[in-house]
Amino acid sequence: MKLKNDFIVQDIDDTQFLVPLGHEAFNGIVRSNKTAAFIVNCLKNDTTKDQIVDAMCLQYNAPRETIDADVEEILATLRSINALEE
Amino acid sequence: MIEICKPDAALAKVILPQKAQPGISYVPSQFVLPFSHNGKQYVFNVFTKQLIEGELPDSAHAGEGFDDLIEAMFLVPEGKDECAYYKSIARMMRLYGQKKGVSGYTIMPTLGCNARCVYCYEEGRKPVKMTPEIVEQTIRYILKTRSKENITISWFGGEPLLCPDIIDHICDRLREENVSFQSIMVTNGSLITPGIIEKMLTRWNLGRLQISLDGTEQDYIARKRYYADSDQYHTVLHTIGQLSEAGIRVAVRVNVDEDNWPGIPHLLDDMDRFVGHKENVTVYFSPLMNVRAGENDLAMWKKITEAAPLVNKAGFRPLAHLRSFMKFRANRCMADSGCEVIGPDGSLYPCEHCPPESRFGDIFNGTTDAQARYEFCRTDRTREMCRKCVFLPDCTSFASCPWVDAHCEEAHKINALSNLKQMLDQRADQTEEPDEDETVC
Repeated sequence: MKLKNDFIVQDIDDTQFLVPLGHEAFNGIVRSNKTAAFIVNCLKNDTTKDQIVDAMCLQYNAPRETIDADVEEILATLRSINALEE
Repeated sequence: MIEICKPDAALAKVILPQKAQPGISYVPSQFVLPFSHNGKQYVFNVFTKQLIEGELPDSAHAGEGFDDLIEAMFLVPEGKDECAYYKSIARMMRLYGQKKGVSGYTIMPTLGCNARCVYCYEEGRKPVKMTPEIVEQTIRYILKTRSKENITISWFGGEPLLCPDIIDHICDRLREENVSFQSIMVTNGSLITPGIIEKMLTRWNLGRLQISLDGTEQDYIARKRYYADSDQYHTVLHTIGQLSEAGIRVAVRVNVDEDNWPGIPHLLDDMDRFVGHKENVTVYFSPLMNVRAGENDLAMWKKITEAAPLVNKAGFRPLAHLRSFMKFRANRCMADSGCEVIGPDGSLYPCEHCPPESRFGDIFNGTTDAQARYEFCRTDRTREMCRKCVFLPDCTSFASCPWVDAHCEEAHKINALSNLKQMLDQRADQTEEPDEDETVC
């Protein structure tokens, strides 16, 4: 899976924004927290949920189950705004 | 912090409050404009559009009692590249505002005109008119490239009303194709008849237009230089009255310089006699290009801002720019808003001034030179002189724009202070519910 091309990632200072380009299904700007920003960065290239969880486990000192749940939640949010190409 | 006007609502949703962090020295933002009015001190943030009463410290740290000013970005970390920050936010808001398809077309049915205005920037261009083939292809091009939402057609020229048949045909075809559209028009107004007004309302979906009226009768005749020797001045005044009666909003643009300025009160008197529905008529003054680029531009701007009470006293619609001044605008003009200009030969430009280097294609082949458009409209280059300007967020942020004022920062300041003070006065005077359309913050 990967972030759709019509979603632009923009980092301004220490905040990441996800901006839809003329998207019909979603009319808003997503301001990501640090976890979401990490996941969005992973999704700039084709990847899988497991690969994202692996990368987060290397980055964050947290139980894999917790990270897995976080990733699932954020992927669900991205799916709900039709931002993912799967 | 005493807040007079809230920050721009859209911007406030996007930008998080700036956290006051220990160990960082905060200084006034480059985008703050301090001023005094009626014995009180105010500070306006040109970027966020927030207005507060009070003064800013020269520097501050977290916990020294100025955290609210830091959060609201009146104070920013010393050394922050605010130009880069503003441009990033503006770019994001521009991206966000982009629609699929073209949302606005400026169509030039002809470059011909029945006047020869002394200041016309199109002087010397051939009076080319759209051929039937170009008209048909213009319709096909719009149908192919348009946004699915309501589109705006701006009729421009030359004098567009030399070709009402072309306007009829394009509007009729768009309606047949169920295209949702509205029209606006820039015209000298001399060719508007009751029949044209009827078409504006019924066939062209035209709700507002701009008419240039450059001074009193004598000045008008000398500057417009119509080919036909008839009383165009009173014709146009009468027409403005008819348009306003029909419910069409008219923006009367008065192009001014030192020579025609003394006649402005007389012009307003003349308009007063001809225009009944003044609530539909806005009058605004615009210095001629040579004035804006000349050494005496500031004197002219001062006169213009000081004349605002004259227009208000005459009963015409208040200046609309008070509203836009208090809003963050990601797009400054048609060139960076995704609109397209269709020339009478079918050429495509990003700007109605049609700089030859910005031509990016034609209605037959679409975009053939995306680079030309990109280069003209790119916003990642800011003129060096603009990087530290307090008014950068209120100005065209691309370096290719042909508009340059001789003393632009000072001119902006004159206008900004005039707007802010008018707004404060309006707030003070407001004794009844404001017209929703005129609410300024």
